[in-house]
Amino acid sequence: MANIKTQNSRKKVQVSMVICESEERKHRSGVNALQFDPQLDRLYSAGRDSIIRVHEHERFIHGMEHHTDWVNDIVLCCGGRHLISASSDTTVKVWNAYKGFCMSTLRTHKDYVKALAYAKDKEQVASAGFDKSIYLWDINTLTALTASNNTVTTSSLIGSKESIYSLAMNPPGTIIVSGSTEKALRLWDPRSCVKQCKLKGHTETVKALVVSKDGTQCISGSSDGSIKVWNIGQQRCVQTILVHTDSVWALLATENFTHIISGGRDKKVVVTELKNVHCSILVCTEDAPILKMCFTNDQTAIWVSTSNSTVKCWKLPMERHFKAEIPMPTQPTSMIAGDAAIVKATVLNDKRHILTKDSCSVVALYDVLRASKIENLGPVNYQNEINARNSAKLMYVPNWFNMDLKTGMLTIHLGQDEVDCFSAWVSAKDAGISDHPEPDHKVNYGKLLLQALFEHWRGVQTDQESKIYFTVPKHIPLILSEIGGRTLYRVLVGDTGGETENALLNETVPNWVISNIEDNCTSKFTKVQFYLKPHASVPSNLLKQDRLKKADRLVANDFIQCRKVAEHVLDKLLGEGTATSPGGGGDGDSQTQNNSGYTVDQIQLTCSDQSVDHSMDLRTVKHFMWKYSSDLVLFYKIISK
Amino acid sequence: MNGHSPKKSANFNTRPLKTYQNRRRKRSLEDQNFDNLFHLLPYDNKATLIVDSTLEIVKWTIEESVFNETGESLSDWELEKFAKILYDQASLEWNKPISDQQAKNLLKEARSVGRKASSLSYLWEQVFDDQAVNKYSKENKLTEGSPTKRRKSCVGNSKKSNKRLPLKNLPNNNLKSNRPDFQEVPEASKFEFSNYSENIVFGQLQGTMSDYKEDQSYHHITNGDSMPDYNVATLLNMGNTCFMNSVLYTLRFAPTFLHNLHHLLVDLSLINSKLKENKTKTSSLGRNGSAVSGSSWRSASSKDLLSIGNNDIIPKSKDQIVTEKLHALFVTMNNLETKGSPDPYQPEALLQAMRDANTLFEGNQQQDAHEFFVELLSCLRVTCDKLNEQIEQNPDLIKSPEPTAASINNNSKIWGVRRSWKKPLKKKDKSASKKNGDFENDVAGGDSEDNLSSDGNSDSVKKKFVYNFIAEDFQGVSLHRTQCLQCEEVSELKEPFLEIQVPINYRDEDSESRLDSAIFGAICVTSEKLCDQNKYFCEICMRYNEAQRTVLYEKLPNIMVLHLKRFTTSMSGVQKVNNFLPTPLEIPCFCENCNKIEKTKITPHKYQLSCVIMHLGASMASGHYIAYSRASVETYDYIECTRDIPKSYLSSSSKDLSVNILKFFKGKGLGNTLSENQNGIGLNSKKNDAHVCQSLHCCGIRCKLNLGSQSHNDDWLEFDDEKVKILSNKEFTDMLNRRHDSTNTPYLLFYSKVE
Repeated sequence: MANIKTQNSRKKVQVSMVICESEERKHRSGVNALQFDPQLDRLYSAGRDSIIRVHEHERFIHGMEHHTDWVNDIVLCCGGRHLISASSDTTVKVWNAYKGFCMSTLRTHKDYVKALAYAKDKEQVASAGFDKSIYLWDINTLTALTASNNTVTTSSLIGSKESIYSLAMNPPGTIIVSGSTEKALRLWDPRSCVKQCKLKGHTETVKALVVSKDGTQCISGSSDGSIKVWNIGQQRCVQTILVHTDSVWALLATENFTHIISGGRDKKVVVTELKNVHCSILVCTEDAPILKMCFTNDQTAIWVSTSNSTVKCWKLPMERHFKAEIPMPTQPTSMIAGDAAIVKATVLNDKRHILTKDSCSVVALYDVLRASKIENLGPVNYQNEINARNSAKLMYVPNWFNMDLKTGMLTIHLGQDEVDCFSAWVSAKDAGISDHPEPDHKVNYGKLLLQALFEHWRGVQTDQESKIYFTVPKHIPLILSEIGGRTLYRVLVGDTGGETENALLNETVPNWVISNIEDNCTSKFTKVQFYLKPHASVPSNLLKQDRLKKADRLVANDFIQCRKVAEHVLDKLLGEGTATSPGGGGDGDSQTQNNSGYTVDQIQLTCSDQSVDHSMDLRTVKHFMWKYSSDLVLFYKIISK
Repeated sequence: MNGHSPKKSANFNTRPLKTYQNRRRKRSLEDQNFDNLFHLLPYDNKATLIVDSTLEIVKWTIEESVFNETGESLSDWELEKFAKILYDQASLEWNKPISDQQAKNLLKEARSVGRKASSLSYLWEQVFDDQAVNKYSKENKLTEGSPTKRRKSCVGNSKKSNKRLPLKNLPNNNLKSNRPDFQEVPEASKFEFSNYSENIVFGQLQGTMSDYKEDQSYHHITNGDSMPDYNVATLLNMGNTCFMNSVLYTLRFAPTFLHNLHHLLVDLSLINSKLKENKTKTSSLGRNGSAVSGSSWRSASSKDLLSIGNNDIIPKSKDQIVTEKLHALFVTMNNLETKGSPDPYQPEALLQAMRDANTLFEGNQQQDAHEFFVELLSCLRVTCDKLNEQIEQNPDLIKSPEPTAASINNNSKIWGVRRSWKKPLKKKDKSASKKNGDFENDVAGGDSEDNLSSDGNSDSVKKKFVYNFIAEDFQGVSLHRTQCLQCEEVSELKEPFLEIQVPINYRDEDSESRLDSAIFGAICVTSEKLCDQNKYFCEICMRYNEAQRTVLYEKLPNIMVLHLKRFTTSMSGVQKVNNFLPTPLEIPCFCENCNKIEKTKITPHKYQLSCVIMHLGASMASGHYIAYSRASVETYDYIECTRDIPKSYLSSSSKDLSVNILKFFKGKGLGNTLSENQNGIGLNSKKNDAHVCQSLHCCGIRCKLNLGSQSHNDDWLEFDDEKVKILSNKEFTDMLNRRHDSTNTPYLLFYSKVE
C-alpha cells in the first residue's frame, strides 16, 4: 500500500486499539454520507464509526475499514470502480470500491476533512476541511499510485478565511463552490485556481451545496434554516426558500434542476419546486436530524441517512402527489438497519473492566486485557451495576489507559503522556492469572496488553519462556498515531506478521513499546512514601529505644500488602534488643515470632482511625482511606490474640 | 441633662449659637449604650469627660465673656484651650468632678477671661508663642474681621494651615490619654485633641432633611485648585496604602453604599442583642448575666480587635470585624466633616482588620487596588450572608408586620430588618426627578427575597430570607453560551460576577464607526470560535468539534465595576499595559435585553460614570492610585428609607436632650420651614421635611456638595491620599482623554445604573 508521508514530526506516538466485533455489519453511529452505484445497485454509506459499508439490495456486502475517525464524505468515481473518502482523521483515502480495500492515503490536510466534490467529466475530485484549504486531485493519478510511485501533485485553492463545511462542483469542473462558517459562499474556477466571487446572504454556516450542470446556478442550505438559489452569472440570490424550521444540512437537485430536495435538523425531508417555491411537499419525517440523501437508481426515491444508524429509503412525490390527489407514504420503502452506539462508558475500579451503556440503554461489560465484550447485561440500571461491581472488592489500581467513544465503539489508547500505561502493577492473583507459579508476582497491565497486541509482529522479541497470559482477537484494529495529531498506521492485530505490515510497523512503532515488551526485568515501580507511628496504646517499653520518638518515614512499592508492613513492625520496631536472629531467640518455630512474642496477626494497622486489612495494598489504603494529599500515615498497635 | 442646670451661670445669653448646634451634645450613659449598640462605638467610660457639664459651662462662660468684650467668637478648640488653662491655674484636675465651690470659682475666672482680653490677639499671646502667632497671622491674613472669616482660618481648612503651632503653658498630656480608644491618631499636636473632645456626634436624633441641609449650607463652595471650604474628609497614606485609600474614597461615594452598610451592621447588632436577651431569659440560674447591663458593653470595646474576649453570642468572624471597622471609618470621616476638621485620618484599624482577614495585605508593600476591592467586598458579602444565616436560624426573632401600606411608616412594628425593596421603590416612583436609579427591582439569581411583606404567619418565615446588598448592588449574571457547530446543540452556563474584566488590547474592524460610548459593550460581549487546537468537546457528539462561544450579560448590576486588565504576564514577569482606552462618562447598557434593541432606539437604562481609580506608574509593581468621584451626593435613599431604628431603642433622656438643646436655639424648631441653603433663604419643599434615615448623620457624607437635584454640578473630586481637589467636568474629561500621558491610566471604573 502506498502512502504519501509528510515529514515525521517529533510528537509522541501512542498505541490504540478498537474493541469491536470481527465483522461490523451494521452502522454503529450516524451515517455522514451516501453514494449509489446504479450499475451494481449498491449503496455506499460512510459511517461515523469510521467504516464505509457497502450494501447491495439492502444486503451487507463488506465494510471498508481503514479510517480511524468519522468518515465525513464519500465520492464514487470512475464509473463506480473507485471510492474517495474524507475523514476527521485528516486523511483522504482512495479505495477500490469493488474489492473494498484502501489503495492510497492522502495526508495533505492538517485538520478534519469535511467535504468532497466531484467533477465527473474530468474525473477530478476536490477535498476541503477545517484547515481552510481546498485541494484538487486528479483521480487517474491517484489510482495509479503505488508504493514506489507515491507522489502526486495537487493544486490548491487558497483564500477561504474560515473552516469549510461544504463543497460542490459541476460535472465539467468549471466552477467550484465552498460553504463555511464565514456564511458567504466562495466561488472559484478550478481550471485556473482563481477566486471568482463571494455570494453573501446567509446569516449562518452554509452546510449544503448543489451546483447545476452548466454551472450557472447554485443552491445553498444553511444553519439559518433557509435555502437560497443563486444565479452565478449575476452573482446574486434569486430565491430564498423557507421550508425548514431548523438548519438545512442536506440538499439534492433533480436531474433537470426542477426540484430541490432538502433535509435538515428539523428531521424533515421536503421537496420544493424551483419554479414555484410555495409548492413543497413533505417527503418524510425521520426520527433524527438528516445528514445526507442520495437518489436511487431510477430517481423515484431517495436514501436518507441521519444521526441514527439506520438508513431508510423514501419515495419521492410525483405529479399526483403534487396535486394532492394522493397522500405521501408514511413508511419507508426499504431500510438498512443499524446498530446501537456506546454512549456512556465507565472504567471500573479494577481498571480492567469497562461497563458501557449504548443508545438503546443496553448495558454491557468489556474486558480491556482481552479486548472483547464479556457480557451483555441487557437494559439494567447502569449506575447500580457500577456501584455493585465497584464495592465488591476494594482495590485501587492506577489509571493506565485513556478511552474514547467518538466512533460509538470503545477505543483504548496507551501512551506515555499524562497517563503512563505501565503504571498498573497488579499481583498475578488479582489479575486472574490462575496458573502463575508465583501468585504474588506482580504483572503490569500495560505490558500485558501490548504483548497481546503485538503478539504476531516479528519486530519484537519476547522472551520465549514467558507465557503470554492474555490474547486479543485477531480482528482487533491496532492503530499507531501521534498524540493529538494524525494517524500513522492502522493494521489488524492478526495481520501484523505480513511483509509490508511488518515493515511499516518497524517505522511507526515507538521505542518505548519495543523496549518494554522485550525487557523482562521489572522496572519503574511506583513508590509510596508513608509514616509508620506507634499508636498511643502501644506500651513504650515494647518499642526499641532508638525508635521511640522518631516517626518512621518509609518508602515502599505501592502494591505491597499491609501484611508486609506489619511484618516490618514486628521485626524492626518491637521487642528489646537490636536485632532478632531468625533462628534463635524465643520459641523460634515461627518466623513471624520475635523476642516480644507477638505474631503478625496481632499487629493491627490503622489509617485515619480505620483498621486496615492485611491483604490490602498500600496504594488502595492511600486512595480509599487516606484522603489527604500529604504523605500517608499509618499507626500500628498490638491487639490480643 | 444630668444635674447641672445652665441657669447656674449668671448672665447667660441666649444668643442663638447657630454655629455650634452640633457641638455641645451631652452623651448620657444611655446614649452611649445606644451608640455602642448601633454604631459599635466603644462605651467610653471616661464618663466625666463627656458628661461633666461643668466643663461645658466653663466654656460657654468664656465664650460669652469674650464675645461680650470683643465681639468675637472663639472656635471650639480655642475654648477648650482656655478652659483647660483655667483648670490648670486653679489646680484642678481635668477629668475629675469638682465641688460646687470650685465650680463657682472657675466660672468667676471664666468670666474674667473676657474682661482681660482687650483683643483676641492678646488672648492668643497668653497661650502661644509670639513669633509663631505673627507668622500664623500673616499667613492666614488674620484680621479682626468678620467672625466667619476668623473662624475659617482658625479651623484651618486650607492647606497652609497644616503647620502646627508650638504651645506653651498647656496642661500636659492628660489630654492624650483621655482620647477615646477607637481612633488611633498619629503623634500630632495637641491641637487635634479638641476635635475629638467634643466627641462623636451621632446625628441629630430626630433629624430632618432641613437640618442636614442647613449644616451643609454653612460652608461656601469654591472652585479651583484649593478648596478651603470643601471639607471632605481625607485619608492619610500610611506607607504604600494608596491602594486602600483610593478604594475607600470610591466606595464612600458609590451611591447607596454607606446607607446599606450602616443598616447591615445595625441589623447584625440588633440580632445579637436579641439573641443575648433570649439567652438571659432562658438562663436557668436566673443570674442576670452580662446580657443587658452596662458592663458587658464595655467588654466589646475596640480594644478587642479580634474576636477574643468578645461577649457576643455569635463570635465575630474576621469578615464582620472588617465590616465594622469600615463603618467606623466612615463614621469618623463623617465626624471630621461635621466638625470641619482639616486633618486627614489614618485608617489603621481597617487596615489591620483586613490584614487579619487576608494575609495578602500583610507587610508594607504596595498592593493592587483591585485585589483590595475584591477582598473588601468579599468580607462585606460574607457578613451579609452571616446576617441571613442568623435570621434563618432564628426565625422567631422576626416579627411579621401587618401587610398594609400603613406599616411603611410604622417603624415600631417593623423590626428594622431589611424590608421589601418593593415598598421603597413605589415611593421612589413618585419622585420623578431622581437622577440615579439606585433601586433595582430585578432579582439577581434568587439573591434577595423578602418574606416580611407577605402574610403575617410565622410559617411564611420559613421561606428563605435572603438579603445581601452587595449581591443586590454589585452582582451581575454573565452567560456563557456554547454551540457545537456539528450538532448545533447550545449549552449555557450562567455565572454571577462582581466585576467585569476588560481586556485592553482590543482590536475591532469598525472601530471608527462605533461611538466611544459603546466601547465597553463591544469589548465585553464577545464571541469566539473554538477551533484548531482549541476545539470543544461536545457531549452529544462525544468528540472534539468546532464551536462558537459567546459571552453575554443577562443582568448588569446597579454598580458595575469594570476592571481594566492592565497587566500581562510574560516570561519577564508582570508588565503594565498602558494602551489608551476611552473612558466615556455615559455608556449604554449592554445587557442582553438592551443589546437586542435596535441601535437607533434608546435603551431603557444606561450607565453613568460615578468613580474612577487611576493608576499612575509605568509598571504594576510600583505606582500610585488616585481616586476620582463625582462631586455630588445622592441622598434620596436616605429620605425614602424605612429601615430606621425602632423608637423603643431611643432612650427617653435623649429625647429630653434634644428638647433641651432646642431651648438654646430659639427660633428653630424641628421641621421648620425656613432654611438657609446655597441660594439663600428659601422655603423648604415638603420633601425636605420627610423623615431622614439616621444613618445619614452617622456615617453619611457630610461635606458640602450639591444636594440632589437642586443644582447641576458636574464637578469631580480628585482624591490623592490626603490631597483633595475639585476638577471641573472639562478638566476631568480632558484628563481621561489624554492619550499621550502614557502611564496615567484608568484602572477601575465604577458605573452606576440610571433608568
